[in-house]
Order: sequence, then C-alpha cells, then structure tokens
Amino acid sequence: MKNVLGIISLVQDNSQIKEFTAKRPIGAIPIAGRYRLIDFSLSNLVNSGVDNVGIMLPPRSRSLLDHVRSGKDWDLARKRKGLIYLPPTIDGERSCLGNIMSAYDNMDFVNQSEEDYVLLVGGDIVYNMDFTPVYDFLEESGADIAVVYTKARDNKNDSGAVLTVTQGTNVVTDIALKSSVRAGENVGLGIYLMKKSVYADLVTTSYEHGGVDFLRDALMTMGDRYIAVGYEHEGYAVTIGSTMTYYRVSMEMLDPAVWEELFMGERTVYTKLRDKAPVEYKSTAEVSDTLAANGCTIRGKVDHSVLFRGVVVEERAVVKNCIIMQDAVIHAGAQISNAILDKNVVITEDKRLSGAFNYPMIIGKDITI
Amino acid sequence: MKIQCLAMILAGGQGSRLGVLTKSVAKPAVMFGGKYRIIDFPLSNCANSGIKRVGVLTQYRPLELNNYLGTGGAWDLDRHEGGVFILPPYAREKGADWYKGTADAIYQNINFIELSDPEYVLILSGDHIYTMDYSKMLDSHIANGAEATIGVFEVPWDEAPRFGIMNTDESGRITEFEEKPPQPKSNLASMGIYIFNKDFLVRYLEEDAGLENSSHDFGKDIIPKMLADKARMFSYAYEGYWKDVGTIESLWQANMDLLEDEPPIDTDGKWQISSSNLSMPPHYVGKEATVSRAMISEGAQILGSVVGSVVFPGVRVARGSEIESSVVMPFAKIGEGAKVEYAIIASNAVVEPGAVVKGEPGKIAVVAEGEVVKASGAQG
Repeated sequence: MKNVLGIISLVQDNSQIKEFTAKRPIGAIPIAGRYRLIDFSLSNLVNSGVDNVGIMLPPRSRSLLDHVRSGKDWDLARKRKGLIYLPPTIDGERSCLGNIMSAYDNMDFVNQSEEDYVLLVGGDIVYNMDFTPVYDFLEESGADIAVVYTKARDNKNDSGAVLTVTQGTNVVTDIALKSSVRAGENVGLGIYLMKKSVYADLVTTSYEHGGVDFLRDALMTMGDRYIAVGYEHEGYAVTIGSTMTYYRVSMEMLDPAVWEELFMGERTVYTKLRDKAPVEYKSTAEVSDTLAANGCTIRGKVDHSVLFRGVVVEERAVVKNCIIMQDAVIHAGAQISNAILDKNVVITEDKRLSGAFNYPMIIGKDITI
Repeated sequence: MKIQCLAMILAGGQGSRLGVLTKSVAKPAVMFGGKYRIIDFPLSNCANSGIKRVGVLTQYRPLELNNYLGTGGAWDLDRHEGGVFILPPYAREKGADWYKGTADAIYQNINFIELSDPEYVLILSGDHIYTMDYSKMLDSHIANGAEATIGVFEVPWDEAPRFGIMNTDESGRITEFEEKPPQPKSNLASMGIYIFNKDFLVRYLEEDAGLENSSHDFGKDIIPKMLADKARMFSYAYEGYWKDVGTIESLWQANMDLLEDEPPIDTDGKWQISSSNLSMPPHYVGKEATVSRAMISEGAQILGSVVGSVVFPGVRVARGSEIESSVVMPFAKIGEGAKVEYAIIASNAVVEPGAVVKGEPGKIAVVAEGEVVKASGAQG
C-alpha cells in the first residue's frame, strides 16, 4: 500500500453524539478503556503499509492533537512522509458539518504527495482491518472508486448509507441515506479508495457546487461520471454515529470474541502510550465481566462494565453496566448502574445513580455528584 | 551545556542466583511488578533526578536488554546532550576482553566518560527495586566537598554481617569499610551506589587496571584503596523501600510487597516509574472469575481465580484454574482447572489444563520461559 495516501476525516456532523463531542473531535472520544476512536483508523492505515497520513481536523482539536502528537506511537513520526495535520478552514457552518471544504483547501497536500491513490476514512469506526485487499479489489475491478461496507447484523443500527450492489461484479447501483438500517443491509463504513485524480475531481466539483459532505455531495451526486464498487468487510465494524451506539459497542467489547478480534490479533491497535501501573485489586474487590485499564484501584464491586485508566472504585461501592472514563472516582458506598461517566467525574459517598439499559445516564466531564 | 553528572548502570551481571529466569536475559531485564523490568527503576530514578545521560554496561545475554532500552525514549532520555548508551565490551588495539569486575567495566569505558566530560560520575547497579532521588545524594556530595560518596541503607543489626558495612564518624565521613563483618560496628550497608568526582575516579581506575593481583571490583579493591589513601569519602543514608531482587525468593517477596493494602512503593506517584509500554487492551475479568489482592496488567484474560498474585500483560488464566501467591509473567497460559501456588511462572510458559505447580513459602516453584508443565504429577 506504499502507493496510497491516507486521509482521516474528522470533519462531520456530530449532532447524534453531541454529549461527547461538545469539547472534542469525534476521533478523540475515549473508547475501550484506553483508546480513542481515531486509534482504529490510524492503526489500520499504518498496519496496511500506508506511511503518509493526513488528519483533517475540525475546530477545537486540542484533545486530539494531545493524543496523536507527532504520531510517534503509530510509528508515523518520520523524516520523510509520516503524519500531517490538515487544520480547519473557518467559514461558518459549511466547513464544520462536512469535509468538502477542508478537502478542497488542503488539495495541495494531496497534489504534492507522490502516491497515486487516496484512501479517505472516517475517524469514527471501530474495526481492525487490512486495507490491502481493497486496493487489489479496486485494481482488478477496473472501477474508479471502492466503497467499503459491512452487512448489518441486526436492527439496532443508527442511520447510515445503505448500498445496493449488483451481484457478482459488486458495482454500486444506489446509495441511500436511511434513518435506520435493517439487518442484512449493506452499510457503508465511510471508507473510500480512489485514484488521486478522481478524488481531486470529486472534491473540486462538489466544492464548486456548494457541496458539504463527501458522501452526500460528491460521491452520491456524481455516480454517472464514475463507477463505484462495493468491498465487503466481513469482520467486526461499527461506525459510532450516536451515543446509544457508543454504549452498545462499548458493552460488546466485553464479549471475549470481539475483544480478541479487535485487539489481540496480528494487527496491533496502537494508541498513545502512558506509564500506568497494573490494576490493583484489593482484598474487598468483587469484579466480574469487566474490562479494566491499567492505573485503576478497585476495592468495591464491579460487574459488566468498562473502566478506563486511573479509575478508583472504593469499598462498598457498586458499579454495574457502566462505562467509566479516565480518572473518575466512585467513593465508598456509592451505587451506579447503566451510566456513562466522562473523564474526571467524582461520585461522592453513598450516592445512587441509575439510567436504563436502553438509555444510559450520561455524566459530563469534570462533574462532581 | 556541560553535563554535571553522568550515570553508569552496571547491567552485566549474570544473575545466576535467579536460575532459569536469567536463562535468556540479563538480570536487569528480569520482569517485576506486573509490567516493569528491574532496570526501569534505576533508569526512572535517573530521569526523575534530572540525570540525562546514562551509560548501561551490558555483557551477559544483552540482546533482549538492548532491544528493550532502544534509544531510551521510554524514560524520556532520548534528548539532545543526553540519551541511553549501551556499552558492551568491545575490541581495542590490544585485543578484546570481557569485563573482569565492576571497576574494570567502568575502566574499559573511560573514553565514554571522557567524551561525556561530566563533573561527577554516578555508579549504579541494576538489581535493586527502589525509588531514590540521586540529585539529593549529589547535593550532599557537593556540600561535603567529598571525592566519593557511598549510598548506605540501614539494615537490621542481625542482617548486617551479610553486607558491606560502612563505619562513619559524626559528620558522615567514612572511616572504615568492612565486607561482611562477623561483628559489625555499624548497620549502614553499602547499596552499591557511588558518586565520584570524575578525575578522582579516573585516576583510581587507571591505577587499579595496572595491578595484576586486583579483582577490579569497587567493593573489594577501589573503595578500600581510596580509604587507605584517606580520601574524602562520605556516606549518604537513603531511607525508603530498597529491595535486592537477586534471588528467586527475594524477587517473589518484592512482588508480594506490592499487594499490600498500602504498597511500600508507588510506581505511579510523583516519582513515576516508566517502562517501555506495549499497545494492549485493558485486561478482561470474566463472569465467573475471582480477583482479590491482585495486580493485573493489560492484555490479560482472567476467567479463573487470581488471589494474592501479580499477573503480567497478555497472560491467559482459563476457567476453573486457581492462582495463589504467585507471579505470572507475560503471555504465560494457565490452563483449565490448573493450580499454581507460591510460584513464579516465566514468560510464555504453559501450565496445561489440570496441571499443578506448587511451591511453598521459602521454596518458590519456578517454571522457566516457554516451559510446558503437563498435567501428570506436581512440580516442586
């Protein structure tokens, strides 16, 4: 994949997941105990041999920059190529709700690169995927664009782009944006591979016609000029489009098969490395069906939950069906269930909080209850 | 900017008392505390003490250690004017030689010391677990106008005869050094940590190198010679946790110390102990698992019972297995229904389903790296 330039787009409409994106780009959302969403796409690019990667940033990107920094932890801090940030172009709504403006303004980066192909991916996908077969598939098909999709496993999905493909050739004949995707439908993952010239033409034409979003205003409107083929990714893959999906996917990681597929295979998911001691389970700890990241100290009871780094669960505290982000503290005797606690939340002694399993309670960053 | 203090870590020890644990790695590369290696402690101490340039003297099975240290980035030591320098024995005009003793190891690297041109040289050993601010020791060295300062630790009187003991006057000036005295006059044991004025050290090393009957050892030759010459030598007392992990029993005990409700050493505190980290997911504790008084690291999967034990990254503990009072190193696999008690299981070892590894206090069982323990018959 030396011939492919990677672009991760973080400029998109996040209205369905605004609880987590008020202060951070979509790619900086903490997930799976120690990662950020962007780690998946970034690692997949690196593991597929892409060594020239641009990240399209939305405004308010500090937390993402602090996470990725030089790209060293992904082996992207290089003398030649490596990582480059593509900062936002501030021009009101149009530049924040979609990536066309940013893609257009950063076109010189694409033109100057020596690669012939562009792989455009979202920073909101949970998956572990080798992109090399997509490249081979596109080459063999003779088409202009490869669109990666997955088959929806159930009806619990968000809105999404549903692809219709012809049997055999897998040529995309229709793309429809549906408010809820049904089981068995082909859901686009927001991963597009194409020749640089095709990318430049799609972005430029769309920009000139007032386009905002690559999928909606470039790919879907110019189907008559280019042939797109669908590439099915068969592994676990979910686009985190809403808070509910975030909660569901976080809980699915407690399934050892999903944990195994995403993190323990040959392709490492890289993330920012930090020094944290192993989890300390004290004598009163009672823990089951839980993911716990290094740096936690547990004296209480935890079931069916994900604990990020540095979380403290004190004696007699009970945590059930929860996602607890970095450095949160659950004081003695507190009881919480069906909740998502953002970073640095403190639950004081003997407090009780509870959401519903299909509608978790969300406690924002730095709040003390 | 001139380098004030250069650290030299003696990491060449074979560590033969650690038996199979040092079969393929040097002692400083031995694992400790659920994610660390022993050398993380002196390296982190250096970084936290503001020492930016560190020489690591390797010799015995250096490959894994070299690979682990890299350019020192994990300890933030990959800096301009700084860095971690791996110093193996190498061939010179007069032929190649292994390091003949601790002093000879430093002597053979005098050109590195001169190249670094520090005012002071700090000599450390790579086989202790402790968190020490070397800058305070250096301050005391400078305040005393000393030529040499030796780090000392107060040991219980009944254990003093096992150590090299420093006798000092009221000002802390060393008057006498006794190696393993049967009737100790003091209980200040040498920690094997020395600060020397650079030129002073170089002079003694060069002199010692020419002596045929010398064993070229700091404790046996250099320090006694300096004392005999009435050099200005002071002791610096370190108070805090300090543990030699040179034997199987002491390595096991130091791991167990971390499981106390208030551990004696805080690796995540202000004095951060850094290590070369892996990108691994949080560990998973299963529906029927039990974990209590345990330290468990990333990438592990615990489906059985882990009590009073330290578990390293990537370890698999299958359903129905029981681990008690043990240390399980990276990527070891404990099979279904297996039992592990008072044991150290080295990296990538496999305890097969139903197998038993049973040691006892004072007689810790060890399963070597990559070893497979089968179900028939217990191992002791």
